[in-house]
Amino acid sequence: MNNIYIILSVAWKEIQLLLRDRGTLAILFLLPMLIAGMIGGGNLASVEGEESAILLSIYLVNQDKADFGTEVSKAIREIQQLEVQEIGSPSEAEGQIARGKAAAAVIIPADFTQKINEHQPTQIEVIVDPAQPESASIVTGIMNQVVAEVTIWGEVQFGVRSVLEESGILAEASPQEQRAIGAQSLGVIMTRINEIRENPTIAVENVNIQGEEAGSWLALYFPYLFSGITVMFAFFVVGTMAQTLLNEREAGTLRRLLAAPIPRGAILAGKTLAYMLLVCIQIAVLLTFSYLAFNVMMGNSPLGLVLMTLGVAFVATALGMLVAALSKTPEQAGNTGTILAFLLGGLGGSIPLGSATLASRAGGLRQVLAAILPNGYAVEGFYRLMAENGDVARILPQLGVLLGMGVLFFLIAVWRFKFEA
Amino acid sequence: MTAILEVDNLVKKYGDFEAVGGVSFSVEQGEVFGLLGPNGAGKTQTISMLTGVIEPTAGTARIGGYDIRSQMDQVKKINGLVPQDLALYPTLSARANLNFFGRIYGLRGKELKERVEDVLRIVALTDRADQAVDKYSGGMKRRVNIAAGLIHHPKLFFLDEPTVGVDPQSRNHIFESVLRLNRERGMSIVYTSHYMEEVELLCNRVAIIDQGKIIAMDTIKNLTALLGGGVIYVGLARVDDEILAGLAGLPAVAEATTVPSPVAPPASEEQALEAADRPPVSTEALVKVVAKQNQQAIVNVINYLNEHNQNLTSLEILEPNLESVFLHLTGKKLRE
Repeated sequence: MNNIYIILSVAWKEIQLLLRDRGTLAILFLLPMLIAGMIGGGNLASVEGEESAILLSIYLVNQDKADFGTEVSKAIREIQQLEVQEIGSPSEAEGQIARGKAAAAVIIPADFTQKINEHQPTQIEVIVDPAQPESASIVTGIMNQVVAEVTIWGEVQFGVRSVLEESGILAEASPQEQRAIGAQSLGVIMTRINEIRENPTIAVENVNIQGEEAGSWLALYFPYLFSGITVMFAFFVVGTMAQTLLNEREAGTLRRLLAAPIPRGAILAGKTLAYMLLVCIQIAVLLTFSYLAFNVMMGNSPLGLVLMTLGVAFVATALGMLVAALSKTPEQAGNTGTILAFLLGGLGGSIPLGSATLASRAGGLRQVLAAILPNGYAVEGFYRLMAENGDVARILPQLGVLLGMGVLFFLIAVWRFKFEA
Repeated sequence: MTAILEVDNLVKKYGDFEAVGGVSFSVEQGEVFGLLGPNGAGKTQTISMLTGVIEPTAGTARIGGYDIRSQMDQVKKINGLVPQDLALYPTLSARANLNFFGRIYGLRGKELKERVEDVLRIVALTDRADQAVDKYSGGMKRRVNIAAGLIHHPKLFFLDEPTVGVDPQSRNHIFESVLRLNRERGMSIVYTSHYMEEVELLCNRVAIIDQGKIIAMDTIKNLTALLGGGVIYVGLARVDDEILAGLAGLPAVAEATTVPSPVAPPASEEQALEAADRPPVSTEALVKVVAKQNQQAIVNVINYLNEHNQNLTSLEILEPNLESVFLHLTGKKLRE
C-alpha cells in the first residue's frame, strides 16, 4: 500500500514537472497535429482537385462538319480537365499557340468523317507549345482516348458494311435501303457494346471491408497515415523520458530519493507510470483530432484502441528507460531518443514512404524492418482496428509482441541503469 | 552519552581506486561532528555509504543501533540528507518540492502540511514558498535544499557541503539553522566542508580526511594544540643540519624541519623571460618551525638568523587553526 502511494507520488511529481514544460508538450501534442493536419489536408485537396481542376486550355479547329468530326468535337468539350475554345483556322490556332495563349490546339481535318467511312487512314493533328512539353503529352493522351472511341465506331461500321456486301443482302437493295440496313446493324452492335461496357459480364468491384463502395482511397489511407503519425510521435517520449531520468541523476534529486526509505523500483515505476499516462493522453488527443478534422474511421472496438494505446505507451516508456540506461549524459539521451523516434518512424512504417501500403504488408525490406521494430506492430494493430473493423482478437499478436518488447527493454534497462553517475 | 553513529572501517573501491580507505569514527547523540577535507578527499563517498545511496565495498556502520548493511530501511528513516548538489526540482515551487519529499517519507494529509510549514519556518522561506525554485537566489535554493532534508524530522542529519556557492548572508542563516536544530531539537549532525571556518564555528569534534583516510580526529582545541603556538615557514638561501638544530633548540620553538619545495610547473618561454627581469626569489630551502608560542618564536628565529648571518628570503606565520593543522599534517592546503 505504502509503495503504491510512493509510486503515485513520484508519478504526480513527474506530471507536475511535465505540465510546466511547455516545449515538450508542444513537441508531443502540437507538432504531430500540425504535421498530420498538413499531410491530411494536402491529401484531401488533391482528391477534390482531381474532380474539378482545369489542367489545360486548348484551341479546337473542327473543319469536318460531318458525324465523326462533330462527335470528336463534342467529346473534347466534355473533358473536364480541358478548357476548349473553338477557333476558325489551323494557322490562326498556330499563331495563338506561338504567342503562348494556350498549351495546344487540336485540328480535325475536313475529310475526317469521309476517310473513316471509306476506311482510309486519317489523323487529328495536335499543335503544341514547345515551351510546354508536358502539356503536349497530356493533350496527346487525351486525344488518343477520344479517337479510340471514334475508331471503334469506324471499325464496326466498316465491318458491318463488308459483311452485308459479302453476304449479298444489299445486292438488290436501293441506296436508301442499303444505308438504312447499315445504320440499323451498326446501331444494334454499338448499343450492345455500350451495354457490355456499362454492365460487364466479369467485373472487379471496389468495395471496402464494411461492404460499402469505397468513395475514396483516402478512407483506407487515412487510418494508416494518422495511426502512423500518432505512433511515431508517441515514441518521441523516449528522448524526453530518458533525458529527465538522467537529469535527476545529474542534479542530485535521484541521490536524495535513494536516501529515502523507498524501493528503487518505485522511483522507476512512478516515472514510467507518469510517462505512460502522457503517451496515452497524446494518442487519445491525436486520434480524436484525426476523427474530428478528417473523419478518420475508428473501427468498432474501443477496448481494442485502449489496449493498443497502452501497449504503445508501455513499449515507448520502456525504450525511454533503456536509452537512459545506456546513455551517459542527459543531452546524449535526449538526442538518441529523438533520432530513434525518427528512425523507428521511418523504418518501422509510421511514415508512408512513397507507398500507401502498410510497411507490415509491403513485402521486401520494408516488411522485414516492420517485423523487427515496434512501430510496425503498433501501426498494423491500429490499422486493423480502425480501417478493418478488427476486434481485440485481431490485434492480440501485435499486442503480444509490443508487450514482449516492452518487458525486454524494461529488464535490460533495470539491469543496466546506474542510479549513481 | 551514547553514539548515534558508529562507523567501522568503511571502505569504498572503484576497481583499483580506493575512494574511502577504511574510515572509523563515531558521533554522539546531540553532537555536531565535522568531516573536514579537500575536494575529492572521500567525504561525500563516506556520507553516501552511510545514507544508503551507495553500497560499501567493506566495513559497516551502525546508525541508531541499526546496521547499514542489513537494516538500511530502518537507517533511512533516522537519516536526513542534504546533498552537495541542489537536489530540487527547479520548476516546482518550494512548497511543491517539500510536499513531494514529504510524501516519499510516507507523510500525508495534515501531518504533511504541518511538517512543510515547520521546515519552511526553520529556513525562513514561508513568504516565498509558492514561488518556483528557479526564481530563487543561490542562498535561498540552499535553504530549500536543507528544508527538504528535514521534512521527516531525522535524528541524524547529514549536511554535505551545504554552503557551496552561497552569499555571506545566506551562509550565516544556514549556520544559525544548523545550530538551532542541534540546540533546540537535539538533532545530531554530520557536517562536511572544506571551509575550516565553518567547521570551527559549528562542530564539537572534527575528523580531518584526506585521500580517503582519516588523518586526525579530535576536538578542535586538541587538534590545534598539535601545532602548539602555531607554525612559522622560514625561507632561507641556504640551510644545513647545524642551522636546523640551532632553530629547534630555541626556547619558544618546539620543532624545526625542512620542507621539500613544491615542484613548479614548467614555465613558458614568455614567463621565463619575465622572470629573468625580476630579482631572484630563493626557493632553495624552506624551514617549518612549530612554535610553542608564536610571537616569541618569531623574535627568537630572526635573532638567531641574524647572529648566524643567514639571509631570510621569506617568512610566513600561520596561526594555530584547522587550516594550519591540515597543512601541518598533509603538507598541502585544504583548497588545493
